[in-house]
Amino acid sequence: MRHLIIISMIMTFAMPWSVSTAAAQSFDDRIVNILVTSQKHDYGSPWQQGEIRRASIAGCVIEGKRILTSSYSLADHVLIEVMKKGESRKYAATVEIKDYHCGLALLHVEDETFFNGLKPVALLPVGSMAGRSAKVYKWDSMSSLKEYLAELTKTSIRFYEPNCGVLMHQFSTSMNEGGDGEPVFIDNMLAGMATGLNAETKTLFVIGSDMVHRMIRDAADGTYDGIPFFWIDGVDLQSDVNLREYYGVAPGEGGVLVTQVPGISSGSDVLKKDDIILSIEGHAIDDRGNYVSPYGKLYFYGLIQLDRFVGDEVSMTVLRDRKKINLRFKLKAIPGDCCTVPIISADSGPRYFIFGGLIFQELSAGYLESQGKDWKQIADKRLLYYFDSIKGLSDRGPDTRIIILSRALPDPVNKGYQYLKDLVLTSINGKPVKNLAEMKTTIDSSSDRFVVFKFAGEITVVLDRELAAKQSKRILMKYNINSSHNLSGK
Amino acid sequence: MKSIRFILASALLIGLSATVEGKKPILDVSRGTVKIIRTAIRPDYNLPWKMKEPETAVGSGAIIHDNMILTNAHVVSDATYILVKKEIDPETYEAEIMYIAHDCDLALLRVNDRRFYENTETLELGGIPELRSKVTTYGYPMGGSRISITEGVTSRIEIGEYSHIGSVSFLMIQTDAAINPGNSGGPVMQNNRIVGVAFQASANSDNIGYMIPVPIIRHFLKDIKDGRYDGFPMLGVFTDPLENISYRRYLGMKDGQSGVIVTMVIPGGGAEKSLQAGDVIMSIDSVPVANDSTIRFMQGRIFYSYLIDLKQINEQVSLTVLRKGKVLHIRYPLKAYPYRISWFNEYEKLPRYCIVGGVIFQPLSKEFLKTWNKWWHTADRRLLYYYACHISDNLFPERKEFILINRVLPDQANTYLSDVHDRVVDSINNVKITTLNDVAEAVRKPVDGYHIIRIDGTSCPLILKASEMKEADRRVKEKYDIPSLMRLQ
Repeated sequence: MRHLIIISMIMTFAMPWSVSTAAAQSFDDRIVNILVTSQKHDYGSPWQQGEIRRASIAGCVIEGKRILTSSYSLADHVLIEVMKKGESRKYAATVEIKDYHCGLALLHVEDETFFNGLKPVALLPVGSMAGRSAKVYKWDSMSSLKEYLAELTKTSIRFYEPNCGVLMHQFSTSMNEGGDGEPVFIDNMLAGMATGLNAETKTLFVIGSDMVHRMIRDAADGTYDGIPFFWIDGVDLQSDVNLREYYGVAPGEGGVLVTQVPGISSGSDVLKKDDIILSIEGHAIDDRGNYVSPYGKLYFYGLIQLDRFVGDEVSMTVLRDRKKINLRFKLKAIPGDCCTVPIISADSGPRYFIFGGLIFQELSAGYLESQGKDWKQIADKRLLYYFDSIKGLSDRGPDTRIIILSRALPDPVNKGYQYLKDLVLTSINGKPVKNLAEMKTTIDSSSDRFVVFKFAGEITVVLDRELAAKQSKRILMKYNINSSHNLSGK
Repeated sequence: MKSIRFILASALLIGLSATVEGKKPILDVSRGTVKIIRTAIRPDYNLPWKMKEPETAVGSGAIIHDNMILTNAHVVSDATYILVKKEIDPETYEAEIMYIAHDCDLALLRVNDRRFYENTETLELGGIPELRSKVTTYGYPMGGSRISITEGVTSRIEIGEYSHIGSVSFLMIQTDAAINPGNSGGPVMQNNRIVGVAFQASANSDNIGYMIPVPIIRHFLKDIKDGRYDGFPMLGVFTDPLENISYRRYLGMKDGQSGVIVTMVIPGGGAEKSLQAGDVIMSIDSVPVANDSTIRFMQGRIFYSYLIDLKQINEQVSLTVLRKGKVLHIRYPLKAYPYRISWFNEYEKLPRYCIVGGVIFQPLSKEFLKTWNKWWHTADRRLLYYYACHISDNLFPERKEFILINRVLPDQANTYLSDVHDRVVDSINNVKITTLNDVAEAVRKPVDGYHIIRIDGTSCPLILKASEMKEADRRVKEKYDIPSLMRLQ
C-alpha cells in the first residue's frame, strides 16, 4: 500500500497543473482503474519468490468488453482487480493477452455487469497527430479521474525485446507519476496508451493506437500470434562515401547494411550478411534506415512489425554483390522462449537445478538484472559478454541455454567449492549439455562414480555422484528449499 | 666494501661508549633515513602522444650499503627530478635511480655529491620479525621536515597484493605502526636492522600498514647483481586448490597425498613443455603443498607462490607431480609472465600508438582501461572481457597483443568514422592484426584503393580511401598538434 500512498502525495503537488476534474469525469465511462498485486522472483534464492507489491494503474475499455492496459505494469502479477467510475467495488480480472514484445495487454472480466455503464473507446485512425491537442487521463487516489494536457514531441519506432519495433509517441505533460496504462485521447479517440514516464524530462511514452489496432486484429481469429519476429543486426549506411563505394551503392540510394542474421529470425533463409536493404514492400529505405510514413520518417522495422502478422509475406529489395535482387520471406512468430539468453524475465520463475548444494541456473536477462540497477557494470564480465553476444549464440539451437553455477550452498559435500559463483558450465563428464533439463538427465542417468563439471576459465568441480545425491536431501532441508529443481520456470 | 666496515666499526665505538648508560649499542637510525622529493610526469593513454601535468610527491628512503638509498619504486617512478634531504643537513641533493623494480615496489637511488654521505648511518638488513614483536617506522609522513618515528607491532605476515603494480601478490608484513603517505620507502626497524620497507596502507581500515619484508628486498638486491633488473618469475601455470575429497579421489590421490591441481598451462610460460593441465603439484623444491594451496611458513601457512618468489628468472624449480596416478619429478627453468594484454600498472613507459588517417590504434592494456573513471565497472564491456579472460578463455591465441581503435580524430577523410571508439581490430586490408607493428605494415597495402578495417563484434568494415591518407595524416598532425603519428617501440 505504501506505493499507493506515495502516488497520492505526489498528485497533490501536481494539482495546479491538472485541468479540472469535472472535465475529466465525462471520460470515466471508458477509463478504468486496475489494482495489480505482483510478486517478483528471487534469482538469489531461485526456489522462492520475492517481495509483494501492489500498484494502481489505468486501463480503458475496448470493443468486445475487454480492457486495454500496459503489459509491463502487469508483470509477475498474482492478482488483478478492476474498478470503475471511482467506485470501491473490485471485480476480479484475468489476462487475455499479455504481450511484452509490444507492451500491450488485454484483460477479461468474468462478471459482465462490470461493463454496465461503460463503453468502448474509439481508435484514432492512422495519420499525423502533430499539432492536435491531446489529453491523458489518470486516476487520482482511485476515486477521481484527472485530465492532463499533452503535447506530441516525437513519433518513432522504439524497440522491445527481441528487436520488436513499436510505434511510440512521446508527449510532454505535467504528469509526475504514471506511465502505467493511462489512455491518451485526441478528438475523443484513443491515440495511444502510456507505458512509461520520464519524470525528469516529463516525457510520457505512449504506444500508438496502431499497435492496439494490430493487436485486436491479430486476436480476432481467436489466437493471438504476436508481433512478427525479425531479429537481425544492421548498420545504417549514412552518407559514408567510402562504405557506399565499397559496397557499390548508387548515389542517392539509401539502405541498411545487414551485419548478422541469426538462423531463428524470419528471412534467415534468404537474407544474408553484407546484403544492403534498399526497400521493403516498395517503400524506399533511406541512408538512415528510415521510410516515409504517415507519422513522418520511421525506422524500417515499422514496415515489418506495425501492420503485419505472423504468416504474412514481406518483400525486400537488397543489394547483394552489387546487384539488386528481390527477396520474399514469410514472417515467423517469436519463438516461445526466445533466445539462448532469455531476455524477457517477467512472469516466469528462474529455472534452477541444485546438485550437491551447487545451484545451477540458466543465464538470463532476469538473472543479470537481479544483481541491481547497475548490473551492466557490476556483473561478471564473462556473463555480460555472453549477454552482449546473444544473437551470435542463438545459432547453437533453440533449446540451448547458458548454464551457470550461480553459487553454492555450503555443506561438507561441496567443501572447496563454496566460493565459486557465476561460472559458465561447458561440460559434464566430458559431454556438453544444452540446458538444465538435459543436465539433470545426464546426472540422474549416469553410472559413473564421479560427476565432473567443467566451467569456462578452466575450472573443474568434481563431486562423488552418490554421495552428493544422498546429501542433497539434507542440504535442501537445512536451507529450507522445497524442490531440488524447477526446469520449466513455471 | 671497505667503507662499510669502517662505518660499522664506528657504530660499534659509539656503542661501547654508550654502555655506561644502557647495554645496547646505539645506532642513530634517523641518520640513515632520508626524505625524497620527486617530480614525475605521466603519459596520457587517452591521447597517447601527450603527457599529463607534472606532479610532485614526497617519500622516504634508507641508506644501505655501497651508498645506495633504498626506497619504494612508487616514490620515484616516472621521475623527472629527484631530490633527497637529510634531517640535520639544510642542503638538498640531487639523486638518480640506479635500479627500479615496479613489481616488488623497490628502487635504489644514488647521490653523486659525496658530501651527502657525511654524518650518515648505513642501515643493514635483518630478518622477518616475529609476530607481535615491536617494530619502529622511520620516515617523513605527510611531508614534514622533521623525521617521524612511530612504533607498532608485527600483526600479520601474509601474501598480499602490491598495489603499485597491481594484480601481483608477494609476501608482505602488516603492522599497526602508522604508515601514511610520505612514509613510503622508509625503513621499518627492529634491533637496529631493517626488517621492512614501509610501502602501503589499507585504504579501508585504520592503523593497518604494510611493509616489504627482507626476503623480497634481498630478491631485488640479488636480481640486480648482473647490472639489470629482471623481475620475478612465475610457475607458468594456474592452479586450483584441492580441498574437496571427491576431487582428490577422482584424481587418484591417496590419503597422505596433498597438492594443487594445474588448471591451465600458460602459453609461452616456463612450464609449457613440462606440466599439463590436470597435473597435481604435490611439492615445490621438496616443500609439501597442502590441498588449500599453502605451505608451512614460520608458525603458520602461506600461499605456495612464496617459494617461486624466492627464485630468480631462469632458476630451476623442482616439482613432485602426480600425473595419471604416477608420481613424477619435474624440473624446469622459471620464466617471467608472458602477457598479451598488460595486466599491470606501467611506469617509465610511453604508450605505443599508430595514427592512420586520424584513426588512433593502440594496444589494449590496463593503463588504457584506466582512462575510464572506475574503469573496472565503466570501461567498454568487450575490452573488459578480453582483459579479464583472454588467457583463461584462450581468446584469439594468434594475437600477440590486442590492438584497438582508441578513437578517431575527426578529419574530412574519416568523417563517417569519427564516432568509432574502443573497438578491437581484427584485420586491416585482409591482414590479421596481431601486433601494433602489423597495423603499420598492413596500411602499406591497400585493397583496391581502400583501407578496410575489420573490427570484432560486427561485420561492418571501417573504410578509408587510401589516396586521401597522406593529406589526412598531414592535416591531423598539424591540427591536433601531434609531434609524431607513430610510436611503435
